[in-house]
This record gives sequence, C-alpha cells and structure tokens, in this order.
Amino acid sequence: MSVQVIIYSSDRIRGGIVKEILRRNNIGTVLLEKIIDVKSEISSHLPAIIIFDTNNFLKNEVKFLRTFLSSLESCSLILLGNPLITNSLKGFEQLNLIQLPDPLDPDKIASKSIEILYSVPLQTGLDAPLQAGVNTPFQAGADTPLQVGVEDNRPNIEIDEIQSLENDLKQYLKLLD
Amino acid sequence: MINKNRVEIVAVVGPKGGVGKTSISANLAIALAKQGKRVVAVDLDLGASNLNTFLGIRNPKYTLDDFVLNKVGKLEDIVLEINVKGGSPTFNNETSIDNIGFICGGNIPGIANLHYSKKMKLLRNLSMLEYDFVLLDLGAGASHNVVDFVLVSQKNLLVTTPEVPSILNTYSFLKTLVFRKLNIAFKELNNQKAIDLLEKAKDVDKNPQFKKMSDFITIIESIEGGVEASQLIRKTLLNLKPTMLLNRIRTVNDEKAGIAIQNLTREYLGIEFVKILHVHEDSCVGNAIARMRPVMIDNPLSIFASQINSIAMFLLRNFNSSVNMVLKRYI
Repeated sequence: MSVQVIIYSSDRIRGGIVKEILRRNNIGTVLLEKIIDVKSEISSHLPAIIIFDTNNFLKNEVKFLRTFLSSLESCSLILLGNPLITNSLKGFEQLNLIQLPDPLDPDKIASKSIEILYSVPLQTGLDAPLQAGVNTPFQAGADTPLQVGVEDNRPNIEIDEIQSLENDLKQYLKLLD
Repeated sequence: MINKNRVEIVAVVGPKGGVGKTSISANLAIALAKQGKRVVAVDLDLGASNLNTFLGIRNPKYTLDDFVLNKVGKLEDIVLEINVKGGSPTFNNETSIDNIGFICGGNIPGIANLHYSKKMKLLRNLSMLEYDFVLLDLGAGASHNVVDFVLVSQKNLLVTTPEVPSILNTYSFLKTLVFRKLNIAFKELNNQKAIDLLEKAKDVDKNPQFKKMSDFITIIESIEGGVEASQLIRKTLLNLKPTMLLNRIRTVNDEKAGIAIQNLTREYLGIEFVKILHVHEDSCVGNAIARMRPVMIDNPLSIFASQINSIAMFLLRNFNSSVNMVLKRYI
C-alpha cells in the first residue's frame, strides 16, 4: 500500500490510533515521531495529506514544518490537538488546512482523509493537476469548465462501494438476474 | 382485558447471535427509564436467557418459567421492580434507577418451542402490562416464536452488525417476517390462490418471477380477489416499519452496510426502514459485561452510552406516532 498520509505525532498512542483507523480504511500511512523524518519522507515522496498532532509539540517543530511546507501547495494539512493551539498556528494558508480539535475523533479523521483523497482539488483550468490517490469519475466536456466541487465526486465513490456490497449480497441471496 | 394506557411494545430482534441485542435491550431500558418513562425489559430469548446478567441481577425471585408453568396467574406477577426497597435486586448502592421493571427469561426444557396457547397467553399479558415501554429482548433465529413477538410489537429494532453474514441473516429474517404476516393475512381473507402463490414465491430459484415484491403484487392482482389481496400486501408492508440498528461499527465503510441492506429490502421486499441507527464499537461494553453491570451505569459518559441515549430519544420522539411517520413518507 503506497503512503498517502504522513502522520506526525510525538504521542505514540495517539499516533497509533490515527494510523490504525486509516489502515482499516485502506489508506496507506507512515507514522513518524520526529519532525526531521517528516521532512525526509516528504522529499522522497509527496503525500496527499500530512496529519500533524500538536499534542506535546515543540514550537520549533512548527517553525521547521512551516519552512519545508512553504513551497507545497497540493497538500492537505490536518491539525490535531488542543483547539487553542491549532487555532494559533499561522503560516499554512497556502495549504488545504483542516483543524480537527481534541478530543481525538478517529472516525472524523478517517472520513476527512477519505474526503480529501477521493475528491478532485478545488482548482480551475484544464491543466490543473490531480492529487495523488485521486479517483475521478468526472469528465470535463468541451464547454464544461473544470471546476469540480469536492462534494460532487464523493458520493460516486460511496455509491460504488455500496453497489459492490449490494452485488455481493444479491449473489449470496440468489437475487441476481 | 386490555390496558387502557397504550403500551409501546418494542422488539429488539436480530436473527444472528452475538450482534448485541441483549446489551442494547438492557441499556436502552435504563436510558428510557432515565427519561422518566415506565419501562419493563422482558427477556424473551426463550431457553437461552441472560438479560439478567447484563442488568446485574444474580438471583431473580421470579422468572418466565413461573408464568409458563402456571405458578402465577398473570405476567405482571413476575415483574421484578429494580431498586425497590425490600430486597429486590439492585445494581449497586450509589445508583438508583426508578420506573424500571424486569421479567427474567425462562430456561425450562422445551420453553424455546412454546406451545401456541401459551404463546397467545403471553402475548395477551404483554399488552396488559401497565408500562410506557415494554422492551422485548428476543432470541436469535427466525422461528415462529421470534417472528410472532415481532409482529405484535409497535416498533422493531432490527439489530445487525456490518458483517456480510449478519446482513444476510437480517434480510432473510425480514423476508420471513413479511411472508409470515402475508400468510396470516391471506388466511383471514380466505384467499387460497394467494396463499398458493405466496408458497411459490418462497422458492425464487424455481420461480424467479416472484423475486421482487412489486412483481409478486402485479401477479396477485391478476387472480380472483387479487385487488383486495394486493391492497393487503401494500398495507402489510407499510405497517412493518422496522428500524435498523447497525451495531459495532468500526469504520466509515461499516456504515455503508446499512444503506446497502436498505436498498435491497426496498427493491426486493418493498420495505422501507423508518431509520438506520448507528452504534459504534466501544470497549466499555465488554468491560461492563465482565463486571455484570449495564454500561449506562458502569460508564455513562462512554460513546456507547451516549448513542443508546440517542436511540432512547428517537423512540420517545416517535412514541405512538410511528404509523404517521411511515404514512407521511409514502404520501
């Protein structure tokens, strides 16, 4: 499974919970406890999402993160932790910034990640690059501007999964034509 | 004699074992009682009862066996009032729950195959209990006993987990429920042709034309007395109004199982769920069971307790009004 999400957390338990819930949703992750490792991971492979847990973080780590994320635009940053801290962090405006304040909600983190991974970014223009891991059923016509709302594509993915489950059930129940 | 105050009978049912029916029943009874409703939880898992252990009741004074063996005259004689002074069972010293009664299940040999007359007596007595809510904790499987208790209930909480075997069992149970109810209805109509067609419709391998309920209705309409029978089918499906309770959800994907089974039951059985309720996997449930304490008492701030409270509020909001809800949707 390729790495789609980098999780940075100095708290092994919290980081482990996030990693596990994403794994259960078939999302490839790497959990890192040192900010320097985040940098080297990003330089070798740009993930679609970086999850930054501010629990027990050091101010210098944020500065460092800000420095090497400043040139990245096609990446989503999910900030976890105390809302007072996540609200106060500045300098990530160029990224798709999402705050998921404590208490840690693994389901919300998973659903947000799925939403990001399986949606087209809000960009305009036919040259707009697609994010890593994007699965887009949307086809732009000649007179259709490629401005796709995030919510537009998500249901299609869900419908595919539900349809697949339904087909399995129909097969077991001998309901297929 | 029927109770003047309308009692809301809620069946907690799930054809597969181990999906959490008893855990839901015990805690839901407490959640409703906490809202000031008079509740009685009835253990109808005949022959395999254990609701008392979920409520922390070790040595019940009376059980359903006493009613079945005619040691008492009425069902209300075996209701244990929890936390009432005078040696009745209590959870612990610091917790007090009022308004809650409990009927402990029976375990005498043969009780699982309750005789028809005994079953009818039990059903009559259930509707005479003077409580706001009668919660029936039913056993696994789709035997006539289980199905008939569901049919007399005003509300059904159909408990399943998101795993495929459990969903398959749930679908089959709903089909059994529909066929049982239609069989009774066609007998009342004295329409033998409809009964014969219903029998044929059970075998969709041999008779694929009956795969969907909508097709079955079309065929029924063409027989003698078919218009009346088809109206009866529509009315029956409308009145079933099950509520799906998807228990032990672990991932976002798990939640989709509810939508998948709703789509199937709508397409093939013509049944609409009133609602799909979600309860997430929570380790506090296992911990509470190990301590023989209900989660609502053992860990009232847990996710499980909070979701059970939401289900209680759902039942209260729809108290005696479920028929209207279903009608509204169809209109």
